[in-house]
Order: sequence, then structure tokens, then C-alpha cells
Amino acid sequence: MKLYKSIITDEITAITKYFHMWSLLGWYDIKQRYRRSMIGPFWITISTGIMIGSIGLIFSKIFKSSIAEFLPYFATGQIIWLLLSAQLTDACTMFIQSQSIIKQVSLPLSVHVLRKLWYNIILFLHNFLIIIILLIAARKGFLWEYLLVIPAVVLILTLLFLLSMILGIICTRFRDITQIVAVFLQLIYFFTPIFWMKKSLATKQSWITDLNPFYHIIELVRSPLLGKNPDVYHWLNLLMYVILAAVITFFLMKRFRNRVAYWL
Amino acid sequence: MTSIKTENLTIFYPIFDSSSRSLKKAVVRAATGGKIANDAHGISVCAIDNISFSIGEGERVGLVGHNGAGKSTLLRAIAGVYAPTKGSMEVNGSIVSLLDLSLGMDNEFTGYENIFMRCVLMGIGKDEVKKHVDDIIEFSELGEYIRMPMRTYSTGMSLRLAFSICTTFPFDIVLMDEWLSVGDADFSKKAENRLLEFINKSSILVLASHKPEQIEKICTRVIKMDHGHIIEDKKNDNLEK
Repeated sequence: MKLYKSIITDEITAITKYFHMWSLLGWYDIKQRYRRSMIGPFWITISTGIMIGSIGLIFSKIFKSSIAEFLPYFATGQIIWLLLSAQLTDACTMFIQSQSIIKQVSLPLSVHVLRKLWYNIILFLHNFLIIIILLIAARKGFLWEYLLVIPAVVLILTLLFLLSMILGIICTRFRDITQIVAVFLQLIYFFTPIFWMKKSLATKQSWITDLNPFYHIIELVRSPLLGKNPDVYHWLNLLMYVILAAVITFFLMKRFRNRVAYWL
Repeated sequence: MTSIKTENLTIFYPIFDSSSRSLKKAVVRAATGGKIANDAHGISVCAIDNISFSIGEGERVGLVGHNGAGKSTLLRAIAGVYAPTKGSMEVNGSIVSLLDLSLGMDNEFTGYENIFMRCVLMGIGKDEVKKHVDDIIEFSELGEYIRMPMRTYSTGMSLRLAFSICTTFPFDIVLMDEWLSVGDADFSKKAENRLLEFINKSSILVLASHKPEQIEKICTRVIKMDHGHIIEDKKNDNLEK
């Protein structure tokens, strides 16, 4: 029987060792979804663009803030949210979806996680075009703060990878969790400052954002893109989530890695 | 040195959906013939019960036994899909399991794209596939169809393509659930030869089958299973040389 240590190393080295596998599978998932469509995945850019444009317009009126301030704010928040929520939702069913593969070929579970993550990264990059267009339209030129987006995204992807592994394992065993995650994500969206601003909360209610992981995660990408240097406090929060998720993943792996195939 | 070695291998299958525990229990017992155990974690089926054997280089092993005797589970355990509940399973060598030939293939993709899709799941890189892609297309006799989506293929055509892909790259250990036969009379002869050639390149074959005559023709050793036990393990004396 394989030692736990080697299971963990296998899962981590799979990122490079099986690169050709997960990248091809993820890319083919995109290709499959947009088969026979003329502009393919750019449909996602269009649909997100229309959604952001119209909601941005309406809500800037409702909240009486200028469109130049509200639109980039909403667009960046929404696009990161789409990445987070899509990946977390997909993570719940990814092992179940790949069950024919899992039951025939022995592969590290990371391959299936990375396949989904890669798929959602590709969609995210298509959505990111909207942000780039808005930044160009704002005519602020290049700001050094923009570069902070890179480490933030890297950390967020690491966190998503770990969370996906956790959700994937748990949801394969307890199928109800999938539904709970979906409901939870729907709810948390309204409690996260994406289409509303933190400053509209009274100080007494600031716990709503402070205790909300999604706020800190989104803020780390959003504020550099809006030209502000994010608080160290957000970085520390994200770092803490990554460490926490890594510990949970480690224990779940150690205990249940070999059970996943049996649960399918 | 290619080898498969198991010691006291035991595999318990958990059964969920325990809403109708007793009914489920009865159904499972009737359908599988595996032993059903009731442990602290709920109901589980004992699909493989404390078996030990080793298979060495050059052996062609036939697994026989009725439905639910544990043949497919054993194949999956060798493939590394099911980790042993107890005991050990040690495998040296590269494995290909041909339980589902068209694994990962998608009807919306062209035959050509599907070649890459299927190969990547066998762990074969793009460059390696490119070297053999012409050979695969030629053998499958799909011709121009290879550029068409697979949904335009007949069942026979998709199977021919999957078969051609799976028998192109040699592996040390081949796991097969039922002997593969594909296509019409002409193709099936050609396929039979290719499959034999493919297996000759491998070092170990484990074939689960319900057809004794097929096993007698190919295997050097026959393992008979029942209720997760090995009840007979002998050399095949009838093997034609």
C-alpha cells in the first residue's frame, strides 16, 4: 500500500507531470461547450459584458454613485466572483463527472481538479477582457498597482485548488453538500460587497464584510485594479485561508484519498 | 521486471443509499453473489476476500467465474483504482486497462481530436500520438471520416477507431474485460491479429471472460473465482502452441 507521504507528493507533482493531460482535458471541455458556435468562448465575454453593463447602469442610479466610479468597481468584483463561484460549484460534481475515468485509470485526483480549474481560468480570462476594456476606457494609463493582481490571483488559484479538492471529496461522499454549496453561494453573493459598496454599511454592521472571506479575496484583486494598494489585512486573511485549506486538504487526503473511487 | 503481486488482498465495497437497507441488502445479495458484511460504517460488500497470488513476466492469465465473482473488481484493483481495504497489491510496469475502449471520447469532436483525447488518458503525450496518428487512421479504415464529428459515425466505426487507438501503444500489463472483437467479418479478422500482436508486445495479460473457449485459446493460466475467493488456479493444459 502506498504511503500517505507518497500520495501527497503524487498529488502535488501531478501539476507538472500531468500538465499535458489536464490542460488538454480542460481545453477540450471549453471546445465542447462552444462547439459549432462562431465566436466560441467569447460568448461568455459578451454575456458577462451585457450583464455588467446593464446592472452597472441601473445600480449606479439606485445608489446614486457616478457610473465612472461604480462600473469598474462592479465589473472587477463580479468577474472575480464568477470565477470563485463557478469553480466552487463545479468542484462539487467534478469527481462524479469524471467517474468513468476515475474507475478505469489510476490518476492523482489533482488531475481532475486542475482540469476544472483550467476550464474556469480560461473562462475567467475571457471575462477579464471586459476589465481591460474598462481600464483602457478610464484612461488612467498604466498603474504599478495593477501588478499586485498577479500575486493575488496566484494565491486565489491556490486557494481554489485546495477548496476544490476538499469539496470534491466531501461532495462525492455526501451528495447533499452539492446543493448546500449552491444555496450558500447564492446567499453569500448578497452579503459580499460586489454590487454594493462597503462604505454604505454603518460601522456597526461592518462585521458582515470583515467576517466574509469572499470580501477579502475580492478586495485583493479589485483594489489594485481600481488603483489602490490593498490593505495588508486582506493579504493576511487570504494567506490564512490558504494555510487552513491546505491543512484540511492534507487530512482529507491522508484519510480518504483512496476511498473516492469507492464512493462513485 | 514486470509483475503483479498480491497478498491477503481484501476489498470491501461500501453501499450507500441506505434508505431501504434490508431491501437493498437482499437485492445486492441476489445480484452479486459477493458476501455482504455489516460493519460500523454501514453495509458493505466484500468483493475480494483475502486472496493472494503473483503473476510474473510472460503470463497470460484468464479470470473466470460467474457474475459478481469479483473479476472486474480485481481488474480494477490491479489497475490501482481500488486501493486494498486490507492486504497489499504491488504492481510493477505500465498498465493499460481496456475496460472501456472509448473512455473520454466525445461525440461532438472529430475522430482526429478524439485520438488525442483518448491517448492523453492513457498517458501518451501529444508528440508521441502525432508519430502514430497516421497508422491509427489507416487501421481504423475511417478515411475522410476522421475529420468529421464522431456523432456522424456508426457504432461500428466509433468502436473501430477506439480499438485502433487502444492497440497502438504497447504497455507492460494489459487488463481486459472480455476479449475484444470489433467490426464486421473482414475487419474482425484484421482486428484479432492486431490484438494478438498488441498482447504479444506486452508482458502480462489479465483477461476476465465468460467464454471458456476464448480463455483456453489464449491464456497460459486460469484463475477461477467465486464469491471473492480464488477457488482454482491452474495452468492451461489445452493451450495450443
